[in-house]
Amino acid sequence: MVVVPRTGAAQYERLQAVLEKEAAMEARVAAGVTYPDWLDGVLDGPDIIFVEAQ
Amino acid sequence: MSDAKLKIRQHFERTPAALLAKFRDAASGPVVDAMGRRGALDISIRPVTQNTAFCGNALTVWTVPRDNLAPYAALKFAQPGDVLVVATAGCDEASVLGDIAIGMARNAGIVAVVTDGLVRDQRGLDAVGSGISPADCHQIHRSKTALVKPVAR
Repeated sequence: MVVVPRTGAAQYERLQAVLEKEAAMEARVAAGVTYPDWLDGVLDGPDIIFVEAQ
Repeated sequence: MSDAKLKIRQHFERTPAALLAKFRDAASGPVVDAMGRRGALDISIRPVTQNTAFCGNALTVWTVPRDNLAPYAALKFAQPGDVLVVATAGCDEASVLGDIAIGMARNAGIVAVVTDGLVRDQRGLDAVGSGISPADCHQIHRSKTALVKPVAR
């Protein structure tokens, strides 16, 4: 359950943006992707450490 | 102290498929008995989808509230047949996974997702059909039934 302010027009506009983004992601899932597009860029960054199993 | 966002163990030994197959049709109760009555999940772990029986290697993830980077990263290193186990320290303030991430997990061949955190998008989860448990999985780590910890905070 979600509580939305009585004056919720701005929230509704943001909701439309969220739904559009979700629909795009759902299409990617339906196309068979196994991880998000942005992940490779993050994993190539300096903040990720790869270690071998102990 | 490391400032790393993630530590990832991308290579780890998985249980051979032939051995895993022997457990596939076993009921959980006798398996627990065979392990000295250890390894059962906390009673608060319950399925939220119809698929309640699964068996696979645990691909374990430790994450923090309101951060789903580690679970997403695990998807890249998953192998078909894995079970994604996401520990959040019992975060109940925000969901850690939803139908999009779990749909990607399904596409990667992950057979089930277990978390002590919250999941969202019930209708989408029903469509995906993975076995998902939105409750406590601390016992997974205490009992050492988690075979590996490839992705860690």
